[in-house]
Amino acid sequence: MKKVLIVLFSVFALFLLVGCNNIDAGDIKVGLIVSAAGANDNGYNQFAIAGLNQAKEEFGITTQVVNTADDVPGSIETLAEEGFNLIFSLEYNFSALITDDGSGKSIAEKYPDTVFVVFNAFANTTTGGAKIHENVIEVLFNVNEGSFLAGALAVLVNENHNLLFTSNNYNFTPTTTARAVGFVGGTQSDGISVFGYGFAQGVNHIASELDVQYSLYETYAAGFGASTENYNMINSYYTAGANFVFAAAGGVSTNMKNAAAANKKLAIDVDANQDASVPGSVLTSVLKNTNVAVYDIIEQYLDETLESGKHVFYDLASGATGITDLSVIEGYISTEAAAQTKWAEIKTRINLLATQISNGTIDVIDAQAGEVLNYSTLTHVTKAN
Amino acid sequence: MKVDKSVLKQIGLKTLNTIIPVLIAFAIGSIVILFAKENPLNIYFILFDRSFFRIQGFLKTLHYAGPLILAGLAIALSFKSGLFNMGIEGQIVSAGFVVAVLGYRWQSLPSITLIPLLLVSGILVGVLVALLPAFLKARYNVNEMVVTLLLNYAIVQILEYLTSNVFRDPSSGYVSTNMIGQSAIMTRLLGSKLTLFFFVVIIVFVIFYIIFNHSKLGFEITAMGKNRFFAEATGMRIQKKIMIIMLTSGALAGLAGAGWMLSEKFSYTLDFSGTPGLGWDGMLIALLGSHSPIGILIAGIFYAVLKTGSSNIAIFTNVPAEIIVLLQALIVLFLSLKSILKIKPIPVGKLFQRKEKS
Amino acid sequence: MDFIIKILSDSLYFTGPILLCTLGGLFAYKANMINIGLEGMMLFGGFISTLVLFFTHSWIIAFISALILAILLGMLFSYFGVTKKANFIITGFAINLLAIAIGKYTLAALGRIDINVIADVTRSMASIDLGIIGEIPIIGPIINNQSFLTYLSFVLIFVVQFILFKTRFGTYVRVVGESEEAARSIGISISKIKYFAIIIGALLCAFAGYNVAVNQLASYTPDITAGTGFIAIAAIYCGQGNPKNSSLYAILFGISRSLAVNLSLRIGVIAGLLEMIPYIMIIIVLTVVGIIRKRKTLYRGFLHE
Repeated sequence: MKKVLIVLFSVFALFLLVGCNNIDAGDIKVGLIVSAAGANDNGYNQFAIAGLNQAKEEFGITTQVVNTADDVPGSIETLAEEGFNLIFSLEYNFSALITDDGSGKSIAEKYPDTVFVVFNAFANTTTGGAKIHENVIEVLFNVNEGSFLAGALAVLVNENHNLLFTSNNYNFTPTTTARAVGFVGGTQSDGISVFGYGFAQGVNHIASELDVQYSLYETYAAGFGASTENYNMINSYYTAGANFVFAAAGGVSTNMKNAAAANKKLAIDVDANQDASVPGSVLTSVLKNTNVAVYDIIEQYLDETLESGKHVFYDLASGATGITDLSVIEGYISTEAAAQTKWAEIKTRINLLATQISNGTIDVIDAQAGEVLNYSTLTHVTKAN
Repeated sequence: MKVDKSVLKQIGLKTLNTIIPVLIAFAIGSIVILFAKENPLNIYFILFDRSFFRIQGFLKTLHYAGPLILAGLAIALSFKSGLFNMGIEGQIVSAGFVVAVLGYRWQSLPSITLIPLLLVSGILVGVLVALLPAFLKARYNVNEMVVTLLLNYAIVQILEYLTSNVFRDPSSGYVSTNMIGQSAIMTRLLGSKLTLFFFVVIIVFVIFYIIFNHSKLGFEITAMGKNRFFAEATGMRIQKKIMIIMLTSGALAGLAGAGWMLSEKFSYTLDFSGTPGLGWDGMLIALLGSHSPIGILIAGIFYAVLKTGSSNIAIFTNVPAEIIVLLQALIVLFLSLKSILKIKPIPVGKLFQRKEKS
Repeated sequence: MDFIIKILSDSLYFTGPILLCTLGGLFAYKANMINIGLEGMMLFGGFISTLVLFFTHSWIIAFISALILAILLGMLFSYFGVTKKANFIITGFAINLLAIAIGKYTLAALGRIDINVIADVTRSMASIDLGIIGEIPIIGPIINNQSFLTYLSFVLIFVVQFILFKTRFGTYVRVVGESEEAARSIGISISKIKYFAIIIGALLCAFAGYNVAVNQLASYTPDITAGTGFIAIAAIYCGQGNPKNSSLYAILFGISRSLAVNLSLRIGVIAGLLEMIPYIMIIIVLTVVGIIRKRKTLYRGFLHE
């Protein structure tokens, strides 16, 4: 009897040990809810799914992608109910997850053993800065930094466009006539101004260094769907003299790129690497590499190193944000030696700026963190509209 | 009331006429699903099993059906009388918006006063929004369909402006009003999604049913829809009726918007009403229910099954959830053939007789 | 001055598609069949033309496919609405839903967020340089550089006016609309006339869809039509189906869209509100028309609309 007990006990202990060591990845179910832009958005969602699939292949976890936008809280709850351990939600819809929706408990409280990951907002933080639920993680991308680089790059390229590009490919407004850039935001929100503020700051940074004045055409009401109205508006930015327009407005970006192509000028896209979507018309894209975040968090979860209830910031240094490697537009730079030299110089400069941002020499305003850009501090940028 | 055999036969035919379009739509849908290399039966099983045959799922479906039933009744009321009030959507979102703002401002009030107050506010907003097209139609015979359609667009623009500027929740990373207070949130029952709002809907439904089928007003509405000139000739005051119908329709829509806010959304966002929007869903429901209250009740629940089911399709299968939108469109298309099987219309004279008996 | 020229020039740009839908839809209106599905028919046109252009790289095939689809849609609508005597308001509504549903489903199935055909849209497809006409001061810059279909839409005002009032077909359409009894008594095939009226409308809506998706945007997403079809319906109603009057309202809409966009360049945040100008404007116009008409005629409940 005693022997049996000892055997049983040691088997049990062995189980405990194994259990402590590592979570059995095969039993782990990870769900991911796609935002309204859809799974094939070439960016945000698609990248996240790629990150999920990579984790699935490497760790052998079970995954499920939910391709819906209709009932986000319902989908979160269904996944939790189905025993998913880790649930990513890419949509901006947190109410039922975080707060009591009348049932007495929020979803996060109802499923305390499930870890929920939300993106782009401090949804799990009170106005006082305290976290609300231990099992909710907020992921934020410092896209303000990438936007800053895009703004700086736009000015650097604009000041040298005669040298960099041949005039039969492009039809830039000469700097002697006008110096202008444009920003197109889908709506007035922190999630959008985080791009706009960073961009304006980046433009100002280089403009003040060169002591030139830039006009900034701006809208925060373009919506997120491509229409003839917002095409026309972006087109008028280009015809008014802007050589570069940057859009953070979902589906409107197609209109921006097509308007850039029609005007033989350049556009700056967001979220994914869209440089090759309309080749030669996109200068760069400000990246939000959700795949890095999704993969990282799954890995940490499996290693049990995931600190719950925290914010995770992905900044330039993490590689999850920044701008593209510029390889597509590089193909359109004039082959002349002077142009190539200048281009190399500009790229070096951008890398330097990235380092300066990472080490804190340059501070870029972060609208996500509630910071607001005071336009009067931009000495070399004036709002044109 | 004595049930006539021919009446029974007509009800049977009517039901068939509603079911056949749905079946045709599902049949075409399965061809599309086959193209996506999935088994249609499996997809449809997931669609119905989780949202209809499981108790929690069914309660969730009822929860979603509430505002849909109200929207359906609102549409049916106006369409039945021959008035094309396409403004239900605008009325729903306006009510939702105002209720969101008030639900935040007045959150110090206790639930017992606050929730009824907010529901009534929603109703009032619905009425107010309906007032303009109703007045223009009654007074100047301005086409109500065009006015209500265009007002929808204008309202969406105004609310977008107000939500993203004046009434925006500054701490939110996306466009949204402040969340309504906890005291304004309707309590969920039986550990499900269902709230008291569904019972409010049922009460409204019963009142509506009685008025629609057993009152002079209900009879006049039907008569107006059947033949305007004839209705007028019998001495009905059409102008007043137009106002009453349009405003009641607005009130129902307003209640739907308020309830949706207090039982589901809690803050006004630009996708408050979803796509294509509760008001448009209401149109399909009214059609499915062939403008009869009981029909709308059933259709509302059926439609809610589709809605909750679409999330389940997204979660448990690889078919794009857009298949549901496609099914809905096909159902509407085939429903417009109001009589796949021929129904002999009830003569207006017979309606009079039935009325006198009851 | 430049600003005013731009507003006027953009007015033409926005008016084009609205005008095409308006002129198309008014045949059905005159034949007593209100086609709510203009929006959907236009969206279908934009969808199929970009889809075909994307895969074939030929705008001619794309354009022809759009026309074929338009004829099919017109026949579907007519079969339901005329032959089967369906509730054609609902049929039209269903076509709108179907256009969005098929577009969304196809994009999802293709794994795309849009159908971008910029690579296949040449400069002359997007806008035509009128040469010497473009040199005329003030007028030149306003009317120059629009797409072919936009120019065509203005020519069509007069063509449609002619067809409706000077041809036998036009007369038949009007007779059918005014009194089916009368039409039947003089031996007009009512169904045939209605079929044709609806199909013409569908074709012009396909023009509008092609104009927006290929000429103006060089891409398709399910929201490119942005209510154009409904605005056209409003214009038709306001002008009571008279080609010249309805076109005038269509142009009015184009101007107010242009105003909204251009003023927004100058005034910032409140710009969002300007987008409701077209809608409010038409309601006001309708009201004024209603008041005037009421003063003119003795009004009893529901009379002619």
